[in-house]
Amino acid sequence: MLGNEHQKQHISGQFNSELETLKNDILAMGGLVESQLTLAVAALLEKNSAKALLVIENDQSVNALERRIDQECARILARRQPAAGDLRLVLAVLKINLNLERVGDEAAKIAKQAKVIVESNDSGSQFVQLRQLARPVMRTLRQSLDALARSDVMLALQIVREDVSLDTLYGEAMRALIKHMQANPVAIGTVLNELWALKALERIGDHASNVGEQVIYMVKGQDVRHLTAGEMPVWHSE
Amino acid sequence: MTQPIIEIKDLALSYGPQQAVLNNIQLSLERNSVTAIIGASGSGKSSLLRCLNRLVELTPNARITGDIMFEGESIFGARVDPTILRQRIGMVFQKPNPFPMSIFENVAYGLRLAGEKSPRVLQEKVEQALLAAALWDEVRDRLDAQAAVLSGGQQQRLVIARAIAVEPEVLLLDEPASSLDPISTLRIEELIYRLKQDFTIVVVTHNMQQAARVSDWAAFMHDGTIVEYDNTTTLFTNPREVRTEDYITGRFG
Repeated sequence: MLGNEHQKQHISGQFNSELETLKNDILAMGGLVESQLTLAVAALLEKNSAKALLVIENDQSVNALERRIDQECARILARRQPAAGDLRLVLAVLKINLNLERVGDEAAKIAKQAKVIVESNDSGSQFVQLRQLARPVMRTLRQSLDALARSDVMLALQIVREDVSLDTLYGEAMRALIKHMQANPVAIGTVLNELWALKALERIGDHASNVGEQVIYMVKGQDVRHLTAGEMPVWHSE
Repeated sequence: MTQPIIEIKDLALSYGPQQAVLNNIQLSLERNSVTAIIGASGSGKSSLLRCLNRLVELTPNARITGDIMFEGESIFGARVDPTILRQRIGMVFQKPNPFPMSIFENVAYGLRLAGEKSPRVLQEKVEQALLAAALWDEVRDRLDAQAAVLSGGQQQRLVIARAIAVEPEVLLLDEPASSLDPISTLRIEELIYRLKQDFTIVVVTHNMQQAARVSDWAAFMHDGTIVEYDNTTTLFTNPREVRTEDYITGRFG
């Protein structure tokens, strides 16, 4: 379960339920942006503008939930002065919330590109590169939310470590598209739209990795941001 | 940590058989820093504080084993005069306890006791102590007034002035703000922060936020032992022990 490893209750039942609400809401936020991404990618690959419109519309709910979670954090900080694991939970939720909202933004960008591509009536591209990047990015986001939900440090660490391979995939995809543009200058307009969507996917991978870092901080109290692979702490699965 | 000013080694304290209060206490106090001792009622915080200036010996049947080194020398040594020790390690209690005399005489009390007779020196030292205790501006025009007319927060700062007038090296504060309103409490906390430039401070408090605000080091006590001792930020963000975590986050088993 998200948060403290040991399941003890607060003496204050009210504080307990405030923390529970916060945990539920951040997990709901994760679920919401994940479905936004799935829908946006489907809109693009299926060239389905109805799905794209739905994503763009739903972004409002993502923003509203982001505000609510921030307010809950501010209220807990002001009224409860949390310490130790509770403090780390609130700090981590603040940052995870920010990252998830950005995932929502990137999903909306992908949906907008999908809409442009559908409206341009250019059915040429098979989105080979997008498909190649979309699958691992969606898997990484899913894993980061699992790591959050289960306070799974080992999984979180794996996500942070593997962000490099997503970056490599992105670089390869970019180069392939550039080559494609050089060979087919008429396709530049369409390919540029693909590039924007590709960039959005790469950013989502970064945000998922940031969520992983915050899960590690929340559970272990260690800041693993900006560490090289060699500097990463080693934990053994329990 | 540089050479600690106080080093507690294997300290145990009991108030008679079957009445163990402290067990196996090991603690090094850093010079010019604030160390907070936190823990529930009955955990031994105040008893530990009272060992540091041997005040605990005034309790009937108190029995101490182990040692406390102060500047490298045992405070239990045969040549140590407890009265002198208590001048070097001053103490302030929970309830402000000004003596029934004027503001000036309260602060001058310890100085006179130590044999200071020169009115000029007394005047100077009283003013310095009141300045250091952040009370001077409020009492400078009524030094001859009875101390009892001061508010609770002012009385507590007066008692701190009295304690620091004799220029101790260590200041022990036992719940110094627990009977004060929030503003007076903040004044005392600000004072603690400034006083650590000149003194080493040990503060016992029930108020965890206060410990988090004022201290550099924090020790969590439970059942007469020190469960965890670390720098305050670490103790309050990432404690090692589950018992510490449970206590500072307000959880029960």
